[in-house]
Amino acid sequence: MRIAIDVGGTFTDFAWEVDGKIRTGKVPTTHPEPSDAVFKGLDEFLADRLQEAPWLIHASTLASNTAIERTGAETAVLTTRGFRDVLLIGRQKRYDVYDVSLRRPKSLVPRRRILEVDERTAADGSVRKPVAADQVLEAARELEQLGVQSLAICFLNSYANAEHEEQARSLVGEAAPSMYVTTSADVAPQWREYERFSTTVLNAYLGPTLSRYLSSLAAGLKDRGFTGQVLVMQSSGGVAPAETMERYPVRLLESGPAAGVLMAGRLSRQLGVVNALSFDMGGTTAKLGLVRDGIVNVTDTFEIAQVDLKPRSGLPVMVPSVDVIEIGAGGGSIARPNRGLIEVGPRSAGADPGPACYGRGGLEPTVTDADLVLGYLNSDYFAGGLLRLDRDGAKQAIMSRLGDPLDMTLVEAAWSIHRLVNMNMATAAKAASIARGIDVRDFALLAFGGAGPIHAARIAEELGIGRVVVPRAAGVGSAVGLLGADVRFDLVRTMRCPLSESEAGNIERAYAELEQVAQTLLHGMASDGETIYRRSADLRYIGQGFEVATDVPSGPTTAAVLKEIEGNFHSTYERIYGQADRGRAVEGTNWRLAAIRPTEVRARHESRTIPPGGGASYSREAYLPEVGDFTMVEVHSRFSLQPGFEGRGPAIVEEDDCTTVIPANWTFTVDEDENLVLSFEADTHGN
Amino acid sequence: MAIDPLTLTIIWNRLTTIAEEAGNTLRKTAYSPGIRDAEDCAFAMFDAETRMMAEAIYTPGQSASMPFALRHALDVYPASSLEPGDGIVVNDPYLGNGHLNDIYVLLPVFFNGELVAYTGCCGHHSDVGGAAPGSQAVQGVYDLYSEGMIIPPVMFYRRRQLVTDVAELIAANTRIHDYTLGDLKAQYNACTVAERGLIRLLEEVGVDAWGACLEEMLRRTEAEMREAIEALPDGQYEYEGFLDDYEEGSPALRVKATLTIAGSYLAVDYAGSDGYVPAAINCPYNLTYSYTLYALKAVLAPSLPANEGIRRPIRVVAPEGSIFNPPFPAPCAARAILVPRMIDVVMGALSQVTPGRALAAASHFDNTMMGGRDLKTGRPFVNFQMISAGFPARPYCDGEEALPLGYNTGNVPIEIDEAVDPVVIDRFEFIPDSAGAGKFRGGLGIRKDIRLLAGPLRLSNNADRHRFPAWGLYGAGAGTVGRILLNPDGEARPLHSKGVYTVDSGEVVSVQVGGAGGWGDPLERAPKAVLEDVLDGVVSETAAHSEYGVVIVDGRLDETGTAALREQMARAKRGANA
Repeated sequence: MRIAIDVGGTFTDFAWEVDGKIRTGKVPTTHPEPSDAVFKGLDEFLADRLQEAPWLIHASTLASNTAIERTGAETAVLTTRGFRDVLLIGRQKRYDVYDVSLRRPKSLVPRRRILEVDERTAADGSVRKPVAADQVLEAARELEQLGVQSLAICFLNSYANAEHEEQARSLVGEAAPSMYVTTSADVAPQWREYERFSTTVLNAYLGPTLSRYLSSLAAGLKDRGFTGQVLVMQSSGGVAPAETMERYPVRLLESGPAAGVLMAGRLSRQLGVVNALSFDMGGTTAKLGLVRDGIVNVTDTFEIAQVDLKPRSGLPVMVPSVDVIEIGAGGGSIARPNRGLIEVGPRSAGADPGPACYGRGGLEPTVTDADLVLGYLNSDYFAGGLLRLDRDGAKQAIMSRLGDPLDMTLVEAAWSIHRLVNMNMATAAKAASIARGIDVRDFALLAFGGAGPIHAARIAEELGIGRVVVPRAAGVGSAVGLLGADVRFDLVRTMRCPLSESEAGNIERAYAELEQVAQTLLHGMASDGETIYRRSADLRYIGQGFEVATDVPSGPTTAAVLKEIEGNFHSTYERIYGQADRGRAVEGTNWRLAAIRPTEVRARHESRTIPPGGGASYSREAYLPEVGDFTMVEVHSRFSLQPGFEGRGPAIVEEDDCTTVIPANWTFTVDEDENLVLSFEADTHGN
Repeated sequence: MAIDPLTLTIIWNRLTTIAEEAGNTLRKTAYSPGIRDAEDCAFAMFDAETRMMAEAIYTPGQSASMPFALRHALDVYPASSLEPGDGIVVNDPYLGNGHLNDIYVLLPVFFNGELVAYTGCCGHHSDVGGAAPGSQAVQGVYDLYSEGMIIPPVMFYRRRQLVTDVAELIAANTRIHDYTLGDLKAQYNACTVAERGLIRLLEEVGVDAWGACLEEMLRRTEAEMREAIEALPDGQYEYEGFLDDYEEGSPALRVKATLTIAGSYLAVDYAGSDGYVPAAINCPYNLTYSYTLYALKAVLAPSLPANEGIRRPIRVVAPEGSIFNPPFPAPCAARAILVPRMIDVVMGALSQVTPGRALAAASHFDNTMMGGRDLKTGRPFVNFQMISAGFPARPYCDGEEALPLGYNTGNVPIEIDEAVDPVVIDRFEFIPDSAGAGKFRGGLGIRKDIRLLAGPLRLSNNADRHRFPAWGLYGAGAGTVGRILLNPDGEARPLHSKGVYTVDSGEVVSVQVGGAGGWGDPLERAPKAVLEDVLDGVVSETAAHSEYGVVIVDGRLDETGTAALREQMARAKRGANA
């Protein structure tokens, strides 16, 4: 038995697997104590069976909410003398070149809480000036008196030699034993001081909050008879023991989206699809993730708390994270005329007041309003019938705010909203895949989230993708994804050296050391199976400033292996940038290791009985331009479609928390796992 | 052909996306830190009539100058002579972007055998030969020829084949030939990325819809720019400032702008500015045009796309022979030094008509370069510092810390500088009490100390506002002036803001950039905001008292004392003004 819990902003989702069957459940998330909802759900769904579970897998938005809402611990920074302002100066680029009214996000730590001490390590790791122990002790005492709970130790060049930070850590431990202490070389041992310090400060800022939460979770579980291990989902898409993560809370920032993409990864393996694009569209944003060869793409840097999702406007985080592209496109995205063009998103009506058709005072037209007017949504069966949608309100909003000003009919305006939000998502997906050197046309699109399945087939058309899969329980997809999460820990070391035979020993030593660290971190894991060590490196042509993540074969690092790495680099480079420079010397900067213990879950959703009145098919009008205007379209209840069912678009499939639109030129089937599989008929489209 | 809003939106968005994709490719494949880290580069696309359609937003000056570079290139290679895959390269400052380091690569795009568009990009190359490493020395250069290699428009790729003779010639004339060629190939490659994107777009929408959309885009952008200008009262508005000097003992240079608004037409005239000088700070007209346009756009229409449409209602005039329109071959390598002066005076003039929008004066950047041989590797190197400090105060809030205005080049991580070049950075920090006081204060000045581990090295400074600080507006104070000291902790020796020196291993170059100007009366600043600054150590208690009239006792605000002091200061000010 496995249990997975995903704490989201609105709902806490549960998925559990017993005897090869998956069941799911949902309770409202509680604030400010999210563990209340967790216990409520456990008591409701799994009251007497908790002791059977060896693992409980947990994901939550607590870390990102704490960072975004700035409700973390009172934090201070200890840094190298002369570099007090590294965190405040940043990389010095405006995130908008022309907007002179822009504001930088405030630092999590005010300048008065950034203290300097004498110490200095050189770039080669040698010591230029020893740590002034008395200054560290004095700073620690002072900070404790000020009520500071958490301290980030950020010394220059510590990526090359962590000794000084460790000395400072133990000194602080003496002077202020209750302080949560985190060091930059431990959290993100890579060069680039601003990004490393920023990551470390976030870790310190989140530490006390996350530790408190994880301990209260553990205590509550123990009270309920749970004797297994709590595993926590990291941004990287792997789980790790909760005790380890109390030390690295910054690795939990993207835990929620990671669980979603992970479900896509699991689904793609289950389907035998090697390459997939996960597409999770909710109320405010859409999240896209890449799955290649059944493996979820992971990136090494991202930003949290951005302004309008603009690059460089947020706080950089230098830890591995599932590569999620977030776009301001959701059901609540607002459409408006902008200098004669139509703008859809990133502004969103959110959940309150929500789209005009919610009838809660929203006056601006949104994507959901357009979907309703176009006949894709059923006004009587939205969110399982919980909310009745107001069609007249939607029409009114679309015409008064968009149709009339731009001289478009209702249908033209509604279709424009639908088409453009699809294009925005397709454009972002295309840009992101091109930037990663990936051609998505042979990928499958895996759609989930409340709004995803309405738009999925159209986005697939924009991207030239011929297959769309909508899983069962798409609305609680993240929790289901957690059930199949691998245990994983990512480690990195910065060491700049050319890919030459004389360095083979150093490179092998670096990897061996990382493997040892991984073994320690995963020691005592109640997981069966072998640990797989996946190596990679950030490589570049000597003289370049950006690296390309390159696969590295498992050890030992011989001359032949070095040749292979170099070959991998050239071809990755070529794939991403169009041309490689094979004659030029290559060097590595960061050496990475992912320690993975894979999990295989082969379970089916428990069959559901057809709800009363929810099973019959009927017809309603929907707008399908490829057929011509409004057409009568057959509407199926998802629960009435048994495995083996085959159908042909245009059609609509409705279920409690989402609706799937199948345009003409698409066929669909229900597979053995009750996934809805849509296929594009290329021959009828001429594409 | 009538265009519906949906088609127009789709094509417009796609053009921007294509430019961004190509720009990204350029940045990620380049070798020069200026391009890859600092994003001192540009990417843009033009129609067959050389009208700018879309840009990737990096360094606004380079893209605004690109139409000039393209037109000059076509003077040499007429459109009728071009073939698919041809790549023209040019860096002549008087045809391109005002100094030799900015090299353009331009590529024609053909569709169904017809030339339909051009793609182009520019990058700041770290070195293009000449008297000083980095090719940007202000002094000791007599004319353009002494600054480095001049590349007139020449064919660098012919029908997708590298013209190796030209490549060899270029490579032989830089100190870092490997990188230069790598960068130029990266630039050409980026042009072809956009070429493919444009061809795909044309295949999808057809030439007619594309052409009609383009006309509509330009028409609408122009109309909106005109509307923004028309909203301002007609009249003439002047502002002037000074550049410190161009070498030790040389006179200050007057910088003057006159803004004329007449209906939907706007002109900026630099008449009254001083004549060009025998130092490398002269600003060729293209760059004068580009950054004047930038300042106008940032205040009047920041969200308008930068296509040909915004240029139509605007005229930029610089008298021939002035520092803003010097004659060929006046030296100009460090002409970027005039750009902040230009933005400041245009903002100053604009502040008279748009008091709620224009900004005070910004901190001036410091672009110090050190070059020589790295004893450890035996390799020649150029260490390039780009130190930006305070963003000016705005009529509605403080200036941001540590952000540039106009250009948008970031810094190179200290840990990368120290790992790659023989330098150690001793400090990188704000300078307390350096910001111009005001209801809203300017951004702070910044100090960076660079310790040299190799020598002897050639040091060339490229800085300003060591004599004339960044002014405040509407009663606010100015920022502090900057300075550069050699060995600040020993027998400190002040270096000239544009001097060229020989420095040695073990010496420390301390660059201290002044703060930005404030906005509005400092006595109107919220006392709480002053207290926060004091607690953060960026404003001293003394300055809180003397400049803001705020009394702080034991880290707490003395409200009664503050009210009394402010009233007394206000009275004194009124008395002085009476």
